[in-house]
Amino acid sequence: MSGTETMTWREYLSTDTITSGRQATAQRLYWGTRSFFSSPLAVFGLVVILLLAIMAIFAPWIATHDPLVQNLARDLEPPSAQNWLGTDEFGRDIFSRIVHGSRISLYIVMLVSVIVAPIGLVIGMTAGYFGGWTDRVLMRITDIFLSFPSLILALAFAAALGPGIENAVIAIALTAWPPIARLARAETLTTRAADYIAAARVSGAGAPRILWRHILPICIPSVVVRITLNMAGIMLTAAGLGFLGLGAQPPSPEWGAMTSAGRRFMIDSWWVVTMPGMAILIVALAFNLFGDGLRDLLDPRQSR
Amino acid sequence: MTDPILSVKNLNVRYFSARGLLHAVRNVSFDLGREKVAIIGESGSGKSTVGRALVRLLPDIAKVNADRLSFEGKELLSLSERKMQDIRGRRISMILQDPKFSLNPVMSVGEQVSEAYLAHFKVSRAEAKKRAIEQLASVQIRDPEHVYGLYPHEVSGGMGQRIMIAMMLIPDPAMIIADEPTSALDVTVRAQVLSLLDDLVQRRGIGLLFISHDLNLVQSFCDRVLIMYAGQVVEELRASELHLAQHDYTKGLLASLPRIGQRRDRLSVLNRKQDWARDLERQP
Amino acid sequence: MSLISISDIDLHLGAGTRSRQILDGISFDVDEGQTFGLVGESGSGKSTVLRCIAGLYRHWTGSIAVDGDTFESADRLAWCRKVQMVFQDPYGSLHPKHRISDILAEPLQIHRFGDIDRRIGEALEQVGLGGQFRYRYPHQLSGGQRQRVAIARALVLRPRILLLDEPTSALDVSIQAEILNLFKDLREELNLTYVLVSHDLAVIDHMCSAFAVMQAGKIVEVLTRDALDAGQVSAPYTRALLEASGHYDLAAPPSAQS
Repeated sequence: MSGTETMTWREYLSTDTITSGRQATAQRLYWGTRSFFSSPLAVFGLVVILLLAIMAIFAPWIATHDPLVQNLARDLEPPSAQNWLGTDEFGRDIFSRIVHGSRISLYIVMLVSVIVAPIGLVIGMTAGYFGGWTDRVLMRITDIFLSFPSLILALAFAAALGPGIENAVIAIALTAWPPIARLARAETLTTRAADYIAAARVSGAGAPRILWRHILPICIPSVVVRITLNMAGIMLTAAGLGFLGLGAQPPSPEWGAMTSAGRRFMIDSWWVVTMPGMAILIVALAFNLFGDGLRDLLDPRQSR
Repeated sequence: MTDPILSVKNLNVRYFSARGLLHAVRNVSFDLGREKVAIIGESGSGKSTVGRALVRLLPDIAKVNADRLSFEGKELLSLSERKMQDIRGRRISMILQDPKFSLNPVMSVGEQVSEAYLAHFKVSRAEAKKRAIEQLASVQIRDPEHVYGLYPHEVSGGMGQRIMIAMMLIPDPAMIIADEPTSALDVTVRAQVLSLLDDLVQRRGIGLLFISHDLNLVQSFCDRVLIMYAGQVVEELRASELHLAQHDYTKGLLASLPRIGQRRDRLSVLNRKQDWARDLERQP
Repeated sequence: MSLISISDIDLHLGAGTRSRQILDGISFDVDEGQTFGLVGESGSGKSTVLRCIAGLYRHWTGSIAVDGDTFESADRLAWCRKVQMVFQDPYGSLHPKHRISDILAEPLQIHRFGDIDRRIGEALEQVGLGGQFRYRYPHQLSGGQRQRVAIARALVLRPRILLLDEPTSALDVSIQAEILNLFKDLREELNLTYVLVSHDLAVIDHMCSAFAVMQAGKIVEVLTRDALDAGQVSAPYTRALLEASGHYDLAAPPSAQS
């Protein structure tokens, strides 16, 4: 980086004499990150999510066994040196199954978020900015989706489309966008009246430009926070569908399906149901804590 | 002057934050009797911080200390939070800039005034309502029975501010801290609110601490003026003698004001000097 | 011929039974190079007049013409290049997530101006800010500096008219003096015409050669500065404003109204 050799990194990040756009961005990131890392719970959430990501990426190397190979000679073994978290009713290694299952959970969570964010933003911002009939029609549609409990709606869709991960993703996405749209609409309504929007209009900016360049950057932080907080719910819904047999199908190691299969052996072999259950609990908690930390960072208005 | 209601000696407020220490108020000393004293200064001068420090309403990161901060003979800084709450509600009242943010939007203004009355006196609701209506009448609201039932969004800014004052007066305070009480109001309404405050000082003998940025207003309304710059009181004057100010900052402020009938091509601009912000000598 | 010619503007806001008349028969003319003032209290409609001229409200009736072109017949972008606006609250009129350079570049991009970098530097220079402000975010600036950026944004399109909506009422008096001086300098330098809205008669008196007093959506009277200084005020409302502005009369407390 030119011109910074004479300056230490600390000076570069703290000085008030900003000489480039890159430096301005770097300063923003630096001070934001610092405040994020001052919250231990948020850092815990981030660490768990990173571990989960590493686990998903390197699953074949981390897992000690093949998650699908049955070994009926060693069924329902308690945790031991050979099977760290025990084995299930078919003698499959639970640790390896959880490791591989993280891929499915992350896949569902990511796919749903990627589908839901743009849909919610487009519908919410359009309704909020144009108002009138556009607003009324779009919000009534949103209300219809909102009025069903999300698991029930997802159940209905999964039942209609047939069981499977992709259908579970579609079902969850259909239930997850309305809150995002409501949030984006509310942000747009408050932003729309701001003087900087009026100033942009006086400069000759049209609606697409105002929505994209002025309103979107205001909506994004709260939407990102909301989606992160929703991730736990998405994962739980996916696990719930799996548990009810409408999500991932056996023998794939989805955590919800694993918990469901293990519940028959709960009394004698507690680990079969407890281990994937704990995995769900820890990751859901991590997403929530990370989301809270992110809110303090991106959206100071809503933080406590 | 008889015993002052409030006596402040070497008040200091420091803020501690991740990016360092900010010494927001430095060695501020003054007495307030049954009179109107103004603290004047620009944004960031520490004038509002002084007002909030007196009633201990600053956030936790602020450290307040003073050689003396006595109100009616009590040392405010050494009181427990419970005792302080009592004083805050009963003996010292605070009027803030915008009544819109101080009134509860889902409760009629009259009920809010009677709630304030009930909080301090053990009387029946009917009695409280009667007193609230009297109180509204005493701040020169015509038809107080009608106004009693209105909601905050239904009253104008000037009336909202008078209702706030009515609420503040119920416990019969000895001192009012008014932080920019009229800057959200139109000039013609402003005069009404000021005459009300003036009346309180004259008739009830209340001490008024008037925090403002408006030199013209303070000059004609208050008795004494403290001018703050960078957390310090740089000058103290009788309001009527503001034009005799000695400090360059005060003179600069006065010169930068446009005045009706005084044609100038350019307004004079304040030339800030480094040594204004330097620590003044502490009076013994 | 006058540069700005406004005649008989009516504006209603809200629909049906909740419709309220905001402006009622507003007419005035402003000559080139003049600063015309609009004074009145909150709710008098003075800022709304500016918003109509700027094209932020479209559903008024009457006629607004600038330089011979009426609002209806003019191209929208061409209108923007003639008329620009500076808002009251420097904290609300700059996008919090845009850098100063982005804020100043936007009008230039919309109007497809070339040489954007040079023009931004020039605009910052004109309002007395150095190049070091270019990459900052609005929250890193003081109120006065932000207002200078807002003025620079209004100037980059080289308009002939600036609409100033209480441009100094959110600022300290010493900063107000600097901004008002800047406006006077820019008017000379760039041959600008201003319409200045303020609630402060002293500011109007300092800046404007003529002004209109507004109350409840109507113009009460149009005065010249000479008439104001000589106290030749005819409307009682103007007299009340004049008496109440700036000082508090201890001797004669005004009769309270509710």
